[in-house]
Amino acid sequence: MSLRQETLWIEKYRPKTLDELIDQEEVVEGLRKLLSEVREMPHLLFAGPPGTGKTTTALIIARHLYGELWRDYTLELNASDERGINVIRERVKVFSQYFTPTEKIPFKLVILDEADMMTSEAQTALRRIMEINSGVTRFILICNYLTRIISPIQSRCAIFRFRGIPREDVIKYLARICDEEGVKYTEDVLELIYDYSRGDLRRAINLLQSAAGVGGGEIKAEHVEELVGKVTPKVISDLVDYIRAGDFYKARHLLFDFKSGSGLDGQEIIRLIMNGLVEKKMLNTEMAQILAEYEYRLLNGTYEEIQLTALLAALISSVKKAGGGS
Amino acid sequence: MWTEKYRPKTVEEVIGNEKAKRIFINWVNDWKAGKAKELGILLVGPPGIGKTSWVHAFANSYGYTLIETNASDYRSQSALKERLGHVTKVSTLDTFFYGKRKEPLIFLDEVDGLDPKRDRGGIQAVIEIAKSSGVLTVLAANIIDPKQHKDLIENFYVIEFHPLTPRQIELLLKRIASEENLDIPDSKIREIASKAKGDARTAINMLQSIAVGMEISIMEPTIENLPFSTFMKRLFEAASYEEISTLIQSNINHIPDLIQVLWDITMRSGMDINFLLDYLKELSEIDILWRKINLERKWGLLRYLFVLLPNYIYRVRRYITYEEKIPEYRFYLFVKNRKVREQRDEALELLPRLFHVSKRKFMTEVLPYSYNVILHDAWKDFREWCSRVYG
Repeated sequence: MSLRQETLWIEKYRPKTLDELIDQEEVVEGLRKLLSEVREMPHLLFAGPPGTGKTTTALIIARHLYGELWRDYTLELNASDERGINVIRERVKVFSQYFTPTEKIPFKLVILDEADMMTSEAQTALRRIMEINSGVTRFILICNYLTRIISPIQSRCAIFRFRGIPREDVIKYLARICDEEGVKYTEDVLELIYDYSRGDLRRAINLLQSAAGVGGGEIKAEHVEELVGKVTPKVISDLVDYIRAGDFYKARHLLFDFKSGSGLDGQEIIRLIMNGLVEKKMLNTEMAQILAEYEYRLLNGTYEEIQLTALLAALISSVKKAGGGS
Repeated sequence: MWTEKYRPKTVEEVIGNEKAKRIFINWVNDWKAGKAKELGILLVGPPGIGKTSWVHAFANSYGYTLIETNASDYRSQSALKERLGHVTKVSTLDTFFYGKRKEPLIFLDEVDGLDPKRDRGGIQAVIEIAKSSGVLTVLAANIIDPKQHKDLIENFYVIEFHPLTPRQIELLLKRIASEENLDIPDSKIREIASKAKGDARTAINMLQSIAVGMEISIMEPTIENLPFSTFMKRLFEAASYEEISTLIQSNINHIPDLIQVLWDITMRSGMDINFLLDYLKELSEIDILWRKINLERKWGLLRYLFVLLPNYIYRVRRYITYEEKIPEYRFYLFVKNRKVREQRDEALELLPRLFHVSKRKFMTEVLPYSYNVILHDAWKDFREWCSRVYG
């Protein structure tokens, strides 16, 4: 594997110590207290908007606890990838088996990202897993919305709230990256990137790196704008064009090409279509109702092929009714 | 019931499927010698052609103690483990009773009836039990679905059983008739044999009915539990709306497949686009009604489905005839993007972990910006797909 993590700037410039972490003073202060007495560390729950440093902080804690060997003692799971609570149970069980706590290493660490994607039943089961394994394992749960985490779990964790990173700090950080990479920039263009990413540092850095790639070592506003368009994949934008033109067969073909290649589920695709419609200024209330209806249907476990094609049909009919192709 | 009374006791008495039976015995010999790659055997074939009978007869002839569950038992992961988990090579009580060692044989009939909801984890449990017990394990199913039963197909040796020939059924019926001292003309027996369509159980039931004086004409071979392809053909040949409705009501188990196939048929019908849009909406409504019925267990709502589905079929038949083809559209893309999917799965195993994001976030937030940088040449097809899709 020739690929190194450093190829992506989000990895290369991911802070490695609490000191490097930007702007989350309250969190950092609280964590320092907790980490001064490692053996007493409770389960942790990090909540806050995307790209504010939750995962980064969890990784910093892992490094703090175990040094360079942190990977041996840390299990990173993603609730939205692991299909059932059983998978989590099995992996946590295997992970904490054959482990005897020592003076230096009193427990292993499980980082569970996107914990708010779990159903409340799964969370109830997770709570049990946390209890059963708490002798030898600590959990760091990460979520966007604290309200989606059931209260028995909240009450078992020390909760840290991460807030969106302020404009000046994001821009300072982006400027630092540009300097180290030898990339030319203006203050204005970094402001633009901030506007598009709204405090989500991951998105901002991704955008910065792509723009630097396209611009050949210089960040230009036109490239940033062009790239932002890519938040909606080209295929979705084409798809929306076909919907507008009433070309059902072409739309269907694109849709399934995208679906089978990306492996995204129907719900995710409906949301992308929504973005595409917004971007082309086609979204009206009727269409929003249609999208909601079909996403709701998918939530009930209907056949994705059938419902997605029917969605296309419904959208096309709606366009036609509204006066066709304009 | 004659079907039970005349169930074969020894392997010699089992009619038909000679090749399948030979393969079965060979595999068991390999397995005993530790040479078999698979965990056990999976018998596949329509009902009433001797799968269950064969396993019973085999156990009897070769001295196994049969431990059996079928769809009438509750077969969740825990229920299966509780029932079968303790079975090991030396645990049977027969060792005490008969003095000689009789090995157990685990037989799970109708595994395609494992309910994905109620019998959650059942398939996994079957595999685990076969693996850990070291006991000969045989499964049987009417239809296997390559997707739903992937794990079974990969771990078990699949042996297909075929419908019996009319000649084989004739011989069977004649044997029973003579043992029961029946006086039935050969022509009548031939008629039953042909109407039974390869299903011995149906044939024996018909014979028994005739013996008590029923007329054969009112006993059309049952329209229940038809194999899927027959079911579809009958739907498309049905003379009336009522007939379609009756067929569906008698084969509720086929409704999920029926909905999928109807979608495919509709998609390739070539009908006018405006009609197509309406048909698709209608079908999606049917689909969601079916889900509601299942999810909320509101069986009373089935009566509406029994109107909507036949109605849909009756009208869509005008545009297209049913051929036994692989559902074309789904399959086409599945094959076309095969390489892309394989490479995507590889990449998704590795990369999101490396960048500490979920697979979903990786696909939607990282890849669109960086596929050129992070997808190397081994994932060329996936990279090309990305550039086509993400631009």
